[in-house]
This record gives sequence, structure tokens and C-alpha cells, in this order.
Amino acid sequence: MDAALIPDGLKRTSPGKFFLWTLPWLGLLAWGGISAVLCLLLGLNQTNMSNIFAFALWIVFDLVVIALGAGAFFTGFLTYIIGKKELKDIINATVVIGFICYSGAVAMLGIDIGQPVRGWFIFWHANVHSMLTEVSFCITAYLAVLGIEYLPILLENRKLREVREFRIFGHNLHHIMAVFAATGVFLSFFHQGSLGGMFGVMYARPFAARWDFYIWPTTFFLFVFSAIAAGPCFTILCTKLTEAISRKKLVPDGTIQLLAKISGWLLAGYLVLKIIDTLGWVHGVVPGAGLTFMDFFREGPYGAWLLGLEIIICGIIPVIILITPQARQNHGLLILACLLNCTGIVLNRFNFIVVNLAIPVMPFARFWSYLPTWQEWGIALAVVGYGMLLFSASHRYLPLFPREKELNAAVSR
Amino acid sequence: MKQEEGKHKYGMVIDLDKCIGCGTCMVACASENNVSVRTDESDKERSIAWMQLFKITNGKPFPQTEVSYFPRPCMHCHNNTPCVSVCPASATHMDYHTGIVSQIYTRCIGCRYCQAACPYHARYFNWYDGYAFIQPFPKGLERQLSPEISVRMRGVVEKCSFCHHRLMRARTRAYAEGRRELEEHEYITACAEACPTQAITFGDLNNPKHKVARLSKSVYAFRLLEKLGTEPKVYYLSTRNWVRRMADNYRPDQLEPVGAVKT
Amino acid sequence: MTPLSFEWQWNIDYGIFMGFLYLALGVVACGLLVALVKTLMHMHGEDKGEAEPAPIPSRSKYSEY
Repeated sequence: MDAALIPDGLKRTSPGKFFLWTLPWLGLLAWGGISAVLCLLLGLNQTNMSNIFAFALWIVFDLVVIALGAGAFFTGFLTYIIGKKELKDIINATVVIGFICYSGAVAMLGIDIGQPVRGWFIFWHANVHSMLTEVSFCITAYLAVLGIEYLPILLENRKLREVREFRIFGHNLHHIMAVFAATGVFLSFFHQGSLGGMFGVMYARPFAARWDFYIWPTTFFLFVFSAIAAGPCFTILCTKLTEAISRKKLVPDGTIQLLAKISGWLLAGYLVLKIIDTLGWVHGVVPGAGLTFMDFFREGPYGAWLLGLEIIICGIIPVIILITPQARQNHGLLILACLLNCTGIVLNRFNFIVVNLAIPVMPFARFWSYLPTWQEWGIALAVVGYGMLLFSASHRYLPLFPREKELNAAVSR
Repeated sequence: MKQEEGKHKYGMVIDLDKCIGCGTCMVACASENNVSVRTDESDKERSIAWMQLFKITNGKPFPQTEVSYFPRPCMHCHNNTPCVSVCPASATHMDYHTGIVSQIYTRCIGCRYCQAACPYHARYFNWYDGYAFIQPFPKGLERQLSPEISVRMRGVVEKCSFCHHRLMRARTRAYAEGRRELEEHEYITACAEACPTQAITFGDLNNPKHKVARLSKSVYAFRLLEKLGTEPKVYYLSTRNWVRRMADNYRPDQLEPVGAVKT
Repeated sequence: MTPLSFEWQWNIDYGIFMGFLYLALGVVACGLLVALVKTLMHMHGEDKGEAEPAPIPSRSKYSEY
């Protein structure tokens, strides 16, 4: 039925099977759609957010998908600017993942703000001293860049390639891709940082507050570092998932190993900085606010174990696996390390958002609990559904993995 | 951020030893400032109270039990105001001529970053349609609303404004009478006016003739979470050591004896 | 965002922030423009009989940059 759209010489499943595959994701989108309509019509009282939990599940999700989408800018940086040629086998996939993550995050933010119609005020009435302003500007601009990077991949579609204008335009875009990649790296670097800065600058919230390094708090650098350490691992996971589902080899092992190695060393560097930062915070910022580290966990389900889980289980273990060549060549261990790495970043963002807000600062303020409503889950999971759909469709109709044909010919031989 | 010292610095001193926890300040504030009230206000995480009353106890068993109250308006932090520096849309502002931290409701986009940044929970989000869009509009409600204050729409953050409209009113009158300076009694907030025990004093902290300027320098004066360095313009007074200790976090090795001179 | 908006201040903070923003947007816009103009010139050139660039397979194309 859609055979004319499928890239030349590549095997894809039947349209019926593909349709069945899309059903759960369409279901998630429908759930998200209903939730979005409810939130936009009736207001944010549809959520369980409150004056205490001003940021909640959505912001955690936003920060997580943006951090995981960092694979796009960092792989682009390595491919186009450092010149790691092996990574060109995976760059298309990272661009699509990045585009999904960023567009999903922007859509969620549009529902998260109390007055979506006034969203443009951030741009027009910008307060340049706010980290959130920097985040908004850079995310929007970078989403545009990702759109431009996605465009030539889209124009590779067999039917679209038949149009000569599209073909030449795509070709020309490819030629100057390094310019877009460089701009993307600049924009992405700054908003990944500002997302961290958002929390480090809350100087009246001792759980998040950090010192300033020049004009940025240390979390600025830690968030950039952790995002580029986890982004490539998320790319590996997405690729491996696609390989498992389509039962094909899509990316050469060398490329995956290179990404895993880079990710491992970055994560190791990040952990060193994170541990220094945490120790400095425990002995500097925290006592300065009249608290001890354990004072943060007097009430509620959160505890110091969250930090231990983040740094030791989801930090040091994946580092050991990823930087040991024998370990990361083991398929199961590689997947485990990537999963742990990505979980670590989820925990890190969760700690800075939900745990930070849950901890009362005034000695007589009480602890409040928070659990998301189905509407909040709906909108968050709709991003997953949307991502699955867009990535599946991109894989089906576009030559996302340039060496797919070659690798699978070798396997069948 | 640029921080020049303005001429006036309005502030408040609340004597906790005089406060009886009656809640009149909360009621006066809500009614003065058109704060929306819903039929069901049981969800305290979402109700709006510009002036919030906290009850504290010394935690001791019955005969030694002592209770005190902490009325908490917005602290109007003077130093790098946590909420002002984070607002992406410039919807909140600190006026260095008066020291008042204001909120522009029609500019606020409802991102709630300011709420996350404020350690005092002094900022409130409109989770529901407020008086502006309440359906059906209760009969006679318009007669209760103050025409000087705009009602807030859903999805924006609001906070104590030190009854800024009263300042405007006083200024207008002074101007009409050919004066450039306000008398101490001409501008006070609704909570200070309503307090039956006169626990709340309001005035210009920069003006040595004002009572607040004198009270804020008392040896018994302290502020909420002073260690964070937000420089609140709301001072509290208490002679009781345990009350003073409740205002900030202290490490086990830190003790703040009553009478210690504040710098 | 522009000197026309109410909050705009002529100081170094605004200069740096907006300067970098407009620089990044400018680079992206110029990149797009170049790609567009090159495409148009190519289409025009073909009318005069110039040959279309040989279609390159996606695999080899990636080694160009």
C-alpha cells in the first residue's frame, strides 16, 4: 500500500502490522489530547500541582526529555565540528530523537503555563536576568534549528526526492549543515546550562542553591555535562530498541561502541564534578543556611538514599561498564549501563524539582505530598506516544540509518 | 542586578508577643484586596492568603506548652529579590523608591517559577477562576469588591502588595494638598489597620521618625530566614527565645540568645 | 526583545543577551537563505543547459562533511 514511500532496497513490515504497532501510541496521544483539552479549558486545577508544588511531573518530564535529547546537539558537535566520521551512521537518528524531545517539551510547556495565550510575553517582555528566559529563547531557537536539520532527512523520502527542487534544496542544506550544527551547539549548550541554572539561582532554597561561577551557578555546568553524558546513551537505547523491534542491524557496532565510550568518559568527568559540587554544597551552602544535610529529610518519603542512588547506582556503575571495553562490548551490560545512566539523569532532575520543592524552608512550614493526576500523566505520556509515532514513521519512510542496506546484506550472506 | 537605594523603604514590624492569632489581618487583607474565595476552601495547598497565619508551639508537654503565631505577609525581600530576578516575563518588579515588590497580573504568564523560588510560600497561583469569571456571578458580590484593586484571572500568580493602592491614594491626596511627603499615618496596610492588638506596625524603615524604623532596630527584632540573605522588610518582635529560634534554621551548634544585637 | 518593548534597557546585559540571540538567529536565517538561493540558481542554471549534479547515494554523501 505504502510501498512507493519506503526507501529503495529496504525491507519494512506490512502496512497492517505497522498500523497495529501505532495503535498503543495513538491511544497515548488520545489520552494526552483529552487531558490537554481539560487543562486548557478548565485550568491547571486539573492537575495535582499546588502552591507548594509549583513545578511537578511536567517540568520533570520536560527537563528529562530535553536532557535526553542532548544526544542530537552533542552528536552533531562530534560529527560536524570535531569530525568523528563514524558517527555519521547515527546522526540522522539523533536529529529525529532531538526533534521529538524538543518539540514534545515545548508542547508540554505550552500547557504547563497558566496563561498559554500569553506565552509570547516571555519573548517580548523578556527579563534577560532570568534563567527561564534564556531557556525559552534557546529552546525555541534550537527547535527551529532541529527542524532545519530534520528537513533534509525528510526530503530524502523516495517520493519527495522525485521533486527536483526538493532534491536540490536538500542537497544544499546538507552542504551547509555544519553551520546549523554549530549554531545548534551554541543554543543547546546555553539552554541545557540555564535549565540547571534555574535551580542553582534559587538562592533562598538551600536544597537547590549553589555558588556562582562568574554569572552562572555550578548547576549550569553540571546540567550541560550530565545532559551530554546521558544523551548519547539515550540514542544508543533508541537505536537498540529499533533494532530489536525491526529485527535488523541498523548501526555498526563500532559507532555504538564509540558513542558508549564517549558517554562513559563524559559521565565519569561529570560524576567527579558532581561529587565535588555535592560535598562543597553540604559543607558550604547548607550550613550557611543553618541546616545540616540530614535536616532536608526530616519528613516525607524522600531521603539521602535518592542522592546515593543517583550518584552511586546510576552513576558510578554505568561509568565502570562504559569505560571498560570488555564490559561495554557485552550487549546486556551495555544496555544496562545506558538504562542506568538515563535513570540517573531522571533522578537528578527529579531531585532538583520535586524533592527541592517538597522540602519546607521555614522551620514551621509543613511537608505536603504530591502525586500526579491522570491528566498530568496523560500529557506526559503523550510525548512518549508522539515520539514513538514520529520515530517509527521516520524509520519506515526515511533512510534514517544510512548503512542499513549494507549491514543487512552482510547478515543475510 | 542594579540595586540603588531608594528614598523610601516601606516595611512592617509584627510583634509576636502581642499577636493573639485571631486572623483579623487575614480577613482584612482578603477583603481589601479582592482575594478570591471559593465555596470549598478545604484544599489548603491551593487557597490564596496574601497574609497567612502560622501557628507554632514550643513542642513541650502540657504545663509548659506555649503557643505563638506567625502572621506572614510577603516579605518584600530587599536583596536580589528571589522572585523578581527569576520572572521570565518581567511580571514582577521591586520598586527601589518604595521597596515594594509588585506583581503585574496581566503580564504574568503563570509559569510559577517565582513560587518555586520563594522560600516563604508568599506567592499564590490562581488555580481556579477567581472573582473575575466566577459563574454564576453571585448576586451583590460587586458591592463587596474594592474598585481600587483589579480582580485576578485564572492562571496568574498573586501576592501581598503592601496595599499599594493605599500608597497611591495617600500620594494623590498629598499631591492635591500641595505636599510631597506623606505623614506616617497616611499610608498603612489593611492588616496593620485591622489588627485589634496593634501587633502590626507599618511605615518607612528609612525614616527615623517612623515607629517601624525604631522597632526594627530593637534587640528583640528578627526576620524570617535571615540567614538566606534575602533581606526581608518584614520584621518580627519577640522576647521569647523559642519563638525567635522558630524563625530560622539553626545548626545544633548555633544558638541565638535573646538580646543579641542585630547588625 | 526589541528596543520597542517596554522593558528594554540600553545596558550591557541586554546588549549581550539579545546580541547573541540575534546573532544565532541571523546565522540560521542566512544559512537557510544561502541554501534557497543556491537551489534557485541551480534551477535557473539548468534551464541554460547545465547538468544536474550527479545524485549521490545517501551513504557517500555523509562523508562530504
